[in-house]
Amino acid sequence: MANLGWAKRILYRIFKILKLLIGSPLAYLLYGIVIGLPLGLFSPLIFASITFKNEIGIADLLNVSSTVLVAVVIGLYLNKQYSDQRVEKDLLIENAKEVSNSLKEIHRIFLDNYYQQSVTEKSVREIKSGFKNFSNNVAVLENSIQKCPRMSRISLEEVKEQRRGYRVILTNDPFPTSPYTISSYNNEDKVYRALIQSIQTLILEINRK
Amino acid sequence: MTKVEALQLSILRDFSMTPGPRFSHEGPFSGEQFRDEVLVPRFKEALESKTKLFVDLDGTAGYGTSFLEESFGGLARIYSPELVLKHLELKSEEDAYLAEDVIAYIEEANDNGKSRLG
Repeated sequence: MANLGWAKRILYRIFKILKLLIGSPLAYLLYGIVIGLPLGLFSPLIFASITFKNEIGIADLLNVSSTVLVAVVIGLYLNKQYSDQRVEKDLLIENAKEVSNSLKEIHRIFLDNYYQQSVTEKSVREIKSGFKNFSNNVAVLENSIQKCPRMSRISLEEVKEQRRGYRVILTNDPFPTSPYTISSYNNEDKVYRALIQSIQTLILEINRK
Repeated sequence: MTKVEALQLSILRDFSMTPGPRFSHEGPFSGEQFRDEVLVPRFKEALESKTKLFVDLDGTAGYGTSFLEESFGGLARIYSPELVLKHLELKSEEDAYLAEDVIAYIEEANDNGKSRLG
């Protein structure tokens, strides 16, 4: 049983290394060695009852060449698919992070305004343009998702709904005439955290696709 | 048959670059002022000529929900959300979801003079 545990650990380490190499042509070479070598070494035992001819014909050569060619072509195709998928994911994750950053920025502006308990032309402008920036980043993310066919099932509806509620909290009464109240602060905090969580969930969902 | 073009209204050109608070007593260029002096008369004109009122929301320093709700929500409280949505078209290229939000304020405007917002 102890030997089995040792073998398991070796296999697990080999698997981890192979996983790192997925997508690399080197991975396929390693797969070939890991599977082919034991098969070759133990083939007399495995195929003891089978008789082989000790000659190689032109048909055998063509067979081997076409098999290798197909394996390489399939490998290249799969590699490209993986690469395209990775680019899409990275782009969407970057867009989602922009949304998150602009949300944090408007949250900071809101808190500054709340703590100062004063309304100035500058603060009103900051809130309006800060929210507009956040809103437009959500729109960019939505457009990007629509352009990636593999990501079409990802829904932004929850984030958009929360965004709409966030606009009301930031720019409805008492804005822009009076400072934000304790009620505004509590509501803003609730929606801000819900939005952060939704965006994080979205990033994880994108990465899983 | 003559094609009737939509009536055009630009908040920047026809009202103010800096839309303000909800009510007139709160400050200049309020939602209430915009509704009473500009939006309602132009909407009435659109209804009478059986055409749409096309409102351009771009070019200003931005809007508070209080301004939008009082102006467009207020319009819906006068004429009904269904009639307003039938004869109103909104354009906003600078703020991606602004038109959608305004439509939501129109749909949510109730008839007791108060908004369900906030």
